[in-house]
Amino acid sequence: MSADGSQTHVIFTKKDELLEVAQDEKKRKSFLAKVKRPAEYLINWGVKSSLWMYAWGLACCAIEMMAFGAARWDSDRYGIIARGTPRQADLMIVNGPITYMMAPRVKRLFNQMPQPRYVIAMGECAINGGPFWDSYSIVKGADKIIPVDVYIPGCPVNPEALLDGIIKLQDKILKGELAS
Amino acid sequence: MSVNSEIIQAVKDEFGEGMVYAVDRKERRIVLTVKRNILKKLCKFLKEKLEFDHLTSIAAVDRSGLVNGMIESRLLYYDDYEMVYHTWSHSKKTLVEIKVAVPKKNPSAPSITDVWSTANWQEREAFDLMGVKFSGHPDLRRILMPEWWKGHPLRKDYEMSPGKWFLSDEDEKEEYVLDNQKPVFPLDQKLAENVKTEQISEMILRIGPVHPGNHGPWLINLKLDGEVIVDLDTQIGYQHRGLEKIAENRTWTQYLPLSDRYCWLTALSNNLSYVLAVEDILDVEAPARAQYLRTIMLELNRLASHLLWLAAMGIDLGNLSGFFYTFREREWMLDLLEMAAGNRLNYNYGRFGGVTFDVDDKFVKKAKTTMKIFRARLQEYIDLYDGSSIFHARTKGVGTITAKAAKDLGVTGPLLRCTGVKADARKDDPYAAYPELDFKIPTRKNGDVYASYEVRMDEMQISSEIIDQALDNLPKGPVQSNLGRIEPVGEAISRIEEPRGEIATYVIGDGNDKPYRVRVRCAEYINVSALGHMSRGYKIADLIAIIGGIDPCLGGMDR
Ligand code: SF4
Repeated sequence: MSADGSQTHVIFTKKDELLEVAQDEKKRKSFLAKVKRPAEYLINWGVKSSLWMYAWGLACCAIEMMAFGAARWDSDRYGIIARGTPRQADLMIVNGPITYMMAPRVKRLFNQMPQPRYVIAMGECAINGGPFWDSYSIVKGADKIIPVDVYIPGCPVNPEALLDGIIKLQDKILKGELAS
Repeated sequence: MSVNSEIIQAVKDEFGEGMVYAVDRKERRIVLTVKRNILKKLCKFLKEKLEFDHLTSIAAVDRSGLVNGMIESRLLYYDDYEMVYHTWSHSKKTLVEIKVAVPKKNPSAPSITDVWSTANWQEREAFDLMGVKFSGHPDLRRILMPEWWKGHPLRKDYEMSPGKWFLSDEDEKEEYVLDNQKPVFPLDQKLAENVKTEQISEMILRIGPVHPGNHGPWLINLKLDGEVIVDLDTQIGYQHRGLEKIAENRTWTQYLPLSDRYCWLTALSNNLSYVLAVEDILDVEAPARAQYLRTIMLELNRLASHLLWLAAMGIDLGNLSGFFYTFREREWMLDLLEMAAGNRLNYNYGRFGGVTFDVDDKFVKKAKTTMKIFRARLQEYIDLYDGSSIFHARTKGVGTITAKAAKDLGVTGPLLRCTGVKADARKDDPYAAYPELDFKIPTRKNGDVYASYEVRMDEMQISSEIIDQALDNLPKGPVQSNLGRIEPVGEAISRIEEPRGEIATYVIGDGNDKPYRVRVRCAEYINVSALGHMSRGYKIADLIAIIGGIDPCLGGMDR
C-alpha cells in the first residue's frame, strides 16, 4: 500500500517477465512509475526508523539530549543511535545557541552529513536565540544558517519533548515534506 | 587585632599611610584602593609576605556611566576605567579586593602574570572584552571573541547587537578567514629540551572545535613530538554568549534565570552566587529554612553534576556502561530538583532573600530514600570503575599537578583538593547553612587524574550525608523575605564552591533597576587554562583522560 492509501500491486505473471521489463524501455518506464510510490514509502519508512543522530553538544539542551540517549528514555528504541561524526549521521539536533564564531562550523558540519539529512532545532536558542536574543555574539536561530525541519520549544527541552519532536520528524519523513 | 586590621596594617606599613586607601568592609572582605604604579609591588607583597596565594578574579569595569554607588575610596583615585583584582588567602581565609583606576583613553595596566600565572587568561579576557592593555603580558590576544571581531563589547559605548546576520554558501569558503586564529604556543622551553627523542619531529594537531573528547565546542592545538605533547594552545569562545553584557540590559530579577546558564550543570551554584552577591549589597539574609533548602539543592546539584562527570569519564575511557548506570541515578537527583524547583536543568531557584518554592513532606521522604539507595549504588560505581585495571592504567600518574603549581594557576575544586590543599569555600567562606552542618573536606596527595576521581567519589558520599543532615534539621518558617522593589547601591563579591571549583560573582549596583556590572569568575575557565601545564609531556591518549579529570563545562568557560 502506498502512502496515500491507494492500492498499487505489482505482480509478475509470466516467468521471465522481469527480464522483459528490464530490456524493453517502454515497459520499464511504466513499471517504474508503478513501483515509485511504494518504493519511496518503503525507503522513507526505512530512513525514519533508523535515524542516526549526530552526538555533539552546544549548550544546556545537549545535556537533555544525553539524557534522551540514556537509560530512562533510551533513544535506541526508536532506532536513534548516537554517532560521533557527522559523516555517519542523518540527524543533526542543534541543541543550543550558535555564536557567530561557531556558525561557520555548524554549517560545515551540516554539509558533511550525507543526504538525506535532517535538522531539529532544539530549544529556544536554536529557534531564535532564546534567552540570549539580544546578545552581541548570538545568531538569531539555527535556520539562519541551515534548513530546519522541526522546531522544539522549551528551555531546556525535556527529553519527552525531544521525543515528541522526533516523532513529528518521522511523520514528516514518511510524508516526504522536508525542508532540505 | 582582627585578621582584617592586621592585613591592612601590614600593607600600610609597607607602602605608607597615604598610598593605600583601605576599607575593612566586613568579615573576610577588605578593599584596597591604590595607584597604578604600586599595583604590582602590592600584589607581590600580598603573595609573598601575606600568603595571598590564590587570585580569584580580575574584573575590568567601565565606570564612565556610574553616578551612584561610589564608595569613598573612589574619590581618591578616580578615572573612567577601573581594574578590580580579587585575591584570596587559603591560610588567612580572607579576600582582598584591589582597585586601580585606569584612564579611558588608551587604558592600560601592568600585567601581574608573573605574580600569579592564573592572571594570564583573565587579563586576556579583560583585554578582549574591555580593551585594557596589559604591559608585560606574554601573549595578549583575544580569547573569547574571534580575532576578526571589532570593538570591545563590555564597554558602555559599545552597540549591543550587530543586527541581522546570515551565512551564505560563499561565506563558508571564508571560514578560515573568519575564525581561525593562529595558535600561539606558550612553549615551555625546558620541556622541549627535555623531550627524550633525538630527532624532534614536530607536528601540529588540531582537536576540535567539535570533538567527542572535548565535551563541547572548543579547539585544542597540539604540538606533538611523535605521540608526546610538547605544547598546547587552546582556543575557546565558541559558546561565548556575552552574559555579562546581557546582565546590564536586564533588571535585577530578570537576570536570575540567565545566571543559571553560565554553566548548565551547576546552575544552582551560579544562580546562588549572583543572589548572594546582591543580598550582600542589600544587606539582607534569607530566612533559616531557605538557607537549608539552598544547601540541600546545592548538594543535589553537586551530585547530579558529579554523576555526569563520571558518565563522561566513562565514555572517554571506554567504559560506556558507566554512562548508563550513572545516568540512572542522575535522573533521580533531577527528579528531586524538579520536584522542588520545577525544572530539570536550569532551576531559577534562588530569590533575593530566599528561594522560589518551599518543599513538602513528600519531598523530604523521597529525598531520604533516594540518598539511602544512592549510597549503596555509589559502591557499585566504585566497583565498576575502580575494579577495572584499564581505568587505573589510564588515570594513575597522568596529568599530575603539584599543590604549588595548582595554586599558582588558580585551579580550584576537586583538582586543587587532589593535590593535598584543603580549600573549600563551603568551610572557608561559609554561606547558606553550611556553618551549621558537620562535614569533612576530602583530599588526596597525588594530584593526578586518579586522585581527582577519588576526591569526587568521596565528595558524592559526603554530599549525600550533608543532604541527610540538612533534611533532619530542616527548620520551619517562611522561605522568602519580602524585599519589594530592589535597587541596590554598592558592590559585593560572593564565593561559592560549585562542583568544579570556585565561582565568584562580582556585582556593582548604582541604584538603578538594572545591574551596573556583573562579572563572573567560573571555575571551569581557570581550570582549563591549566590544561597546558597538566598535559605537557604526556601522550595524546592521556589528554582525553586529563580533560575528563578537569571536567570542563563549556558554558562556564565561555559564558
Ligand atoms: S534553549 Fe535554554 S536550555 Fe536550551 S540551550 Fe538555550 S538556554 Fe540552554
